[in-house]
Amino acid sequence: MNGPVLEIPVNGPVLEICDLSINYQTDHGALRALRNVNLTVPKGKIVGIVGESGCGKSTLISAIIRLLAPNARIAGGVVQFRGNDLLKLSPEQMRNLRGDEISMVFQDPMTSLNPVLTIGRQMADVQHRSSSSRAAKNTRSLQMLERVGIADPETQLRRYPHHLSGGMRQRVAIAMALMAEPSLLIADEPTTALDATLEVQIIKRLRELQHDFGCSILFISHHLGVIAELCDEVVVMYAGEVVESGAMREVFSAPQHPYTQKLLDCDPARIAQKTRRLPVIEGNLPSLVHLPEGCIFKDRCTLSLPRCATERPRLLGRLPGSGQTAPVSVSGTPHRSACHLLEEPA
Amino acid sequence: MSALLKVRDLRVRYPLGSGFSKIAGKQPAFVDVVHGVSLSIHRGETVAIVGESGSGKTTLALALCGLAPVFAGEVQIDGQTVPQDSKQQLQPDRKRVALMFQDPVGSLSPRMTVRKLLAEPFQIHGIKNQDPDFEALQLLSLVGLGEDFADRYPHQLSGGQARRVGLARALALRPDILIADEPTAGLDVSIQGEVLNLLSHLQQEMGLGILIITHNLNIVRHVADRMAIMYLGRFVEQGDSEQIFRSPRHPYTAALLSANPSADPSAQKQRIELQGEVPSLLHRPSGCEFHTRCPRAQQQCREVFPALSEGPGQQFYHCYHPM
Repeated sequence: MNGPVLEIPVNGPVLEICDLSINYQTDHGALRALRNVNLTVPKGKIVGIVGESGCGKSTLISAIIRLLAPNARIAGGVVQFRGNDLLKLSPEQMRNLRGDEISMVFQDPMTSLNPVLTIGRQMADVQHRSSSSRAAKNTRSLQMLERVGIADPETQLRRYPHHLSGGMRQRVAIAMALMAEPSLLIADEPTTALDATLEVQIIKRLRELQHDFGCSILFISHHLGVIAELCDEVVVMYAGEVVESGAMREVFSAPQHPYTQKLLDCDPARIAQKTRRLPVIEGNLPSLVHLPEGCIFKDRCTLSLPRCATERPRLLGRLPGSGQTAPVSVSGTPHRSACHLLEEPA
Repeated sequence: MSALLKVRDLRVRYPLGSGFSKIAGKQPAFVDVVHGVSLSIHRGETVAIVGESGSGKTTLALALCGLAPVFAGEVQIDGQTVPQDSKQQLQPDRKRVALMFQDPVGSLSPRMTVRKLLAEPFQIHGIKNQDPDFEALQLLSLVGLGEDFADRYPHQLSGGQARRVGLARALALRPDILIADEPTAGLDVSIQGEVLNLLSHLQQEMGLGILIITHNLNIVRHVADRMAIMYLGRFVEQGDSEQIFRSPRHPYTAALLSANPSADPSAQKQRIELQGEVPSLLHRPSGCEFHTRCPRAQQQCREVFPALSEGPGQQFYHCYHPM
C-alpha cells in the first residue's frame, strides 16, 4: 500500500461522531444542515439512521467519507474512526481508507455500477490495492459473488450490469463493497429501488454477511420496517438534529420523542384497522437558514411546553416523567432523546 | 352496476432487436410485456396492482391511457370499445382516463410555470371557452395548494407538492378514471398519508374510479377495495383486497405478503422464502411462469398454464396447487 499507513487500534467503537455541525454556504446565508450530531457505531453492530427527506442523512454520510459538497463547511465536531479523526486526515490518507476500511453501498445499483464494463472487470478494479495476479483476483470475485448468493457466478462475471435484475445488481454492489473486508459498511437506502421479496432477501443477506465478516454497518433508510428487521440500534434524525437514539427494540416499542412517536404512528404498516384517512404530521420542516429558537420540532409538536420555544433540549438519557438520569438498559445502549417533556412530572 | 373501465385479455407486445440476432433466431422477435390481462374498475372504486419491477404494471397503465400499443384484447369505457387503430380516434377517450405519472418532477416540463402546466391539458384538447387563469387556480385549490404556487417552476416544488401538481394536471379534464402510478414512491411516511388522503377525498367528491400501481403493500391494505397481483405480465391473483390479505391463494401472493417488512419489532414472521431469480421476459418459462421459484410446483405446472379458478368471496387465481 502506498502513502502513510494509519495506526488502527482494535478495541472500542468503530465510529464515533461527537458534536458534528455542518453548514452549507448559500446565497441566503448559512444553511445549518447538521447541528451537534452525536452517533456511535459499536464494533459488529448494525446501526440504522431513520429520518425523512431533509433531515441531514446524506450530509452525515458525506461527512464520514469526506465527500462533502464544495460549499459545505464543517462548523465543529469530531468523526472518530477507530481512533483517528477523519476530519483531520489528508486527502491521501482518506483515500486509502475508502473502499478498504470504509466502504459504501449506494441507493441505485444501476447508477453506481459502470454500464460499459463487465461485472468481472469492475470487481477486479475494486481490488486495485491488492498485488495478487489477475487470476487470483478473479477467483476472489467468484468467491464474493457466491457469498452474496448469486447463482452461476462464472457466467455473471462476463455480463454487464444491464443483464442483471435489480436485486442481483444490488448484491453485486454489496459483494464489491465487502471485497476488502472493511470494518465499516455504509449502506444508503440500498433497498429503496427493490420490491418487498427482494428487499427481504437483501436484508437477510446483509445480516448474514455482517455476522460472517464481523463488520459494522451504518444503514440509512426512511423505511421503518426495514430498520426494524435489520438494525440493532437506531438513531432518529429530524431537521439536522438527532432527536432520539437507542436500542432498536426500545426506540420502536417505547418511543420517547414526540417526532419518533408521530413517525411510527404514520406508518401504514402499524395501523391494524383498515382506514381511508391515514395519519399525517401537520406542518412543514423549519427553515435551516433562519433556524427557530428552542426545540426544532416545537411547531409541529402537539405537546409543546412554554420552555420548548426558548430552550433547546439536549440529547440525554432520562427516565420519562421523572427527569432522572436513566440507568443503562439491559441492552447496554442508552436510550436517549432530546425533549423537555421527559423532565416534566407525568 | 356496469363497470366504468373494462379490460379483456389485453396484450402489449414490443418488437425486439434487429438484424442478425433475429435472423439467426437466437432471440424471439418480440416480447409480451403484458400477457393477457383482464380487469374492471367501477365508479368510486379503488383497484390496486402490485408486483415486482418489470412485471408490466407501468406498461399496463400506459396501454390503458393509449400511450403504449395494444397488441390484442379490448379496452371498454362505459361499455364502449376504445378504438386502437389511430390516434385521432383515441383522442376523445383519452380525456376520460387520466394518468398521474410515476416520476413527479420528471413528468413536469422544467421550463413551464405551474400555471402554464395546468393550462396545457386544455390546449391539447382544444378546449378554449374557459378562463385559463381561473381554471388553474381552481385546480390548485382542488389539490390543496395555494395561489402562490401558480408562478413556481417544478424545481421549486418538493416531492409531495410536485405530486399534487401532477394530480391537478390529471384531473384538469374531469376524467372518470385516474391511474396513479406509484403515487407515493420516494415520499416520506408523513407526506405519503397526505397524498393518499387527498386521493380518497377527491374520489368521494368526483366519483372517480382509481387504479393504483404500487409495490407498497401497506398502502394497498388501507386504500384498495380490490387488488391484482402481477407476475411477468400476468395477473396471477385478483379479488377483494381484504380477502386476499386474509387468505392469499396463489403461492406468489402468499410469498409477497409474508415478505412485507414490519416496523413492529415483536411481530412474529412466518416468511415464505422464494428461491432463484425472476425469469427474464425474453425467456418466459413454460406452463405457469412462477414454477421456477414456486415451492409447490409439480410436473403439471411446468407444462400447462393453469386456468382461472374462483375461490370463495370473488377471489380469482391461476394455480393448480393453491394455498
